[in-house]
Amino acid sequence: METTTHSPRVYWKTCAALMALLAVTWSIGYVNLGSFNLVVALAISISKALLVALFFMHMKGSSRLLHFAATAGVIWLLILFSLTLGDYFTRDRGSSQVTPSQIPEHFDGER
Amino acid sequence: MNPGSTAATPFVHEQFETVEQQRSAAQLGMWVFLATEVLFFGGLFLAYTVYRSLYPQTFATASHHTEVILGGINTGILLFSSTLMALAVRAAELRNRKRLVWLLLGTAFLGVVFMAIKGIEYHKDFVEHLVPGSHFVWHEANQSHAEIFFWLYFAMTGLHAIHVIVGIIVLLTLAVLARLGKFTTGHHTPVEIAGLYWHFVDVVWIFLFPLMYLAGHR
Repeated sequence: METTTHSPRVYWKTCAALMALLAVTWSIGYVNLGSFNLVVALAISISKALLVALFFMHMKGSSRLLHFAATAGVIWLLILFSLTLGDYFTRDRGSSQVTPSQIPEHFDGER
Repeated sequence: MNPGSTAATPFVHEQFETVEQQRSAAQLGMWVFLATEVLFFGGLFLAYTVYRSLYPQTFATASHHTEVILGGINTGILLFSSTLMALAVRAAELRNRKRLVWLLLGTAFLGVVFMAIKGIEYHKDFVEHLVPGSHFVWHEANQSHAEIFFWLYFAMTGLHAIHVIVGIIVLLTLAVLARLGKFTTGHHTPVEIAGLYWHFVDVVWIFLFPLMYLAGHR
């Protein structure tokens, strides 16, 4: 019988890879890599998400239309992030006004 | 569609020509829904990104107050449940009713275990006065920034938890229907579609785990 799902072996391999990546994320959380902690954590999360999407959600081998719909969600997410962060990180640059990022960490009062 | 082919394919609704067409319409619908879910959670992830970039030190300190062991175990549980879900879809496609029912129940059970552990965590957070509001107690610097972290922690894990609960209800419903043999006679699309939803909920947690529990090394 022709199937659209993969053989169990594929799912168990994916599972093993996901668990291994979880172990890496977890253990790297105890190592000080400075700002690279976040970079590594996000890189691993994205890899895990891709594994789930490709094999569990059958993006691998599904139609272009589904690829398009799935990618659309990610693209709109990137638009949401880039426009908002573009504003937050560049607001009032060069002016004398205090930007949120210039408020010191220890500032704990009302604004 | 002529009446003859309707009798041959009793699961096809009248607006579709074939089972295959109906199945791809359902898949597309689910993926479009998941795209809106990406943006639903995306707003909260964006808020997290903005505030973490503003208060990196406090977010790292606050993150150390979360239960990383329980969070890590829960990540493993969800990843394993997704594996069972994927196997359930295969069992449905291969028309193995017994295996399908057990795999659906197993997936739902792991969801329940996840929620139980999350409940223990929330209880600990509550006892330790980490719930934002008038009872929030913070012994380190920048209380208001730490409160923002915990507001996001509860909002994001809470929204995720609601999704898990919905998923459990869907899986249990499917298990009952599967027991009645609804998905093992050539029509397994509902199992497949529910699987997409369950995997999506898993993916959200894949991002929540490092951001909530491992912000700044321990």
